[in-house]
Amino acid sequence: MKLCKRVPLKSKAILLPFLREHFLASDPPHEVLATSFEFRAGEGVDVLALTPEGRLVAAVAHLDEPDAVVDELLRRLHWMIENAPLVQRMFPSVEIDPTQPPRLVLALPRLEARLRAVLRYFTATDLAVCEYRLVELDNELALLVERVAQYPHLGDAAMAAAPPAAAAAPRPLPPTEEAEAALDEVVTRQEPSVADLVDDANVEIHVDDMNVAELGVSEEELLELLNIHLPGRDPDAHTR
Amino acid sequence: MTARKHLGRGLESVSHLFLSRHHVSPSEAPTEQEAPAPAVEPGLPAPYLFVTSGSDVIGRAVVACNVALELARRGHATAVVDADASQPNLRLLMGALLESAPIPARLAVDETHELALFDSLEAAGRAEAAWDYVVVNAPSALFTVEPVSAAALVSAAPPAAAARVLLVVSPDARELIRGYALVKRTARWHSRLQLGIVVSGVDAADAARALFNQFLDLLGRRLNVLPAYCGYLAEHEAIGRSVLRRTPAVLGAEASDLVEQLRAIAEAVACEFEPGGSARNR
Repeated sequence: MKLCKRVPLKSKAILLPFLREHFLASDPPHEVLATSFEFRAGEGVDVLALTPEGRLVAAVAHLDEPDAVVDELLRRLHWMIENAPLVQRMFPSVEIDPTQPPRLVLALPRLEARLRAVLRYFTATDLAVCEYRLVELDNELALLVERVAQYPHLGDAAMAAAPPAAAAAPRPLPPTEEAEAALDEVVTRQEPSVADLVDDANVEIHVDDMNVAELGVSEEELLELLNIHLPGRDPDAHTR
Repeated sequence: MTARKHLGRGLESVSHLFLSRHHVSPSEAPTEQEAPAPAVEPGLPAPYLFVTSGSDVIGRAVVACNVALELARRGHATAVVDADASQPNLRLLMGALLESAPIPARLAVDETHELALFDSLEAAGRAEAAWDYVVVNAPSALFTVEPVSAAALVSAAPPAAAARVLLVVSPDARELIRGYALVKRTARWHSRLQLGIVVSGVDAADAARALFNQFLDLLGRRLNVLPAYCGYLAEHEAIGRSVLRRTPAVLGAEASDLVEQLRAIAEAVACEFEPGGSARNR
């Protein structure tokens, strides 16, 4: 049996290429316009993509579940709607449909019940929530992504017709037992747990016999270096 | 289950990755703050070109001697210094040439190492006007020397000496990490570091360019260093033959992909690092 270990993320740097690939591999595939797209210092979306119909899709990823995630989503959505002409000018080679608000994708390691309950009132646009797990298998890193909730856009008329509390709140899709079991199976085979080691604040990172910290390379830099695709290797060789 | 799996890249060439616990007291804990860069930009005169690599990658000495020779053949006064104490291969690679008449006439080879390197570089520096290029075959260990004082900077100890660096990288995760660390260290001392990159050990130009582009992106974002692409070097049997004959490949009679690649590298170097050492603005 191959050992599959869950790897907790301390940096989004390693997550972004996976998210980018996730959009490229969507059905139908999205066109990725930008990664780490910043509106202003410290504010932006992690991946900005375009559907074949010309609708913007913005992904926001988190390493944990921040308290202000709904507020953050709304502020980013507001910026993109208000600045649609600017976004179009920034990407002149594509045609963006300004009549539809950007679709949002929220990526979290786990969608907790408290946030799940709150997000059902998020009706400003289509929102999908994905859970992800980064795992290590045979010295390969793999990202498991599963859509666990979908909140459709109810439109301005629906919002005006009923107060938010009375609005027909969409029922989020609960994760299936099969999905939960499969993910749990992945994360339970830990011997020893890489997660425990990474969570320890006092660690040295070694790659083979090389002490990366002594070289002056930070963990974030290391993750980016390890994510460089080296020639002669088929990135999809181990896809199952 | 509808989960999608996307595979990561980069760990394949690492035989194992592990973490070990290391307990340190707060006073010993490393800080994010790097030592401040020196107020005075140190460095040897610009004719010096350090050919280096993250580790003992195959190709560094081959690149150094062949590029130097090709530059000399093009009429540039070129000196070569072998600073690799553990594997001083330049004399091996150029042995037959050195034993024969000095061909071309404007080529000199010196062999030195460790602390003597400083004296050698300093002496060569005094005669800098005589050289368009001083090509130094420099192991990465040289770049771990930290200049500790202004006096050390004046004596031009690497990495303070290395304002112009030709980095040879191969498609290996450890090599890239070490190469990145070397650039990071050197860039701290040179706000105007000139960096060229040669990709060795790849079979095709587009693969080399793709690897370079990723590395360029990372160096640009993280270190604000924009290297120039200086070509690639595939694995060739002809390299082994040139070592056996102790004759640099570019002098060989046989036309080959190897010779073409080495000449392309020399041309890129001559273009990027101008003769006589005038700084090239990017």
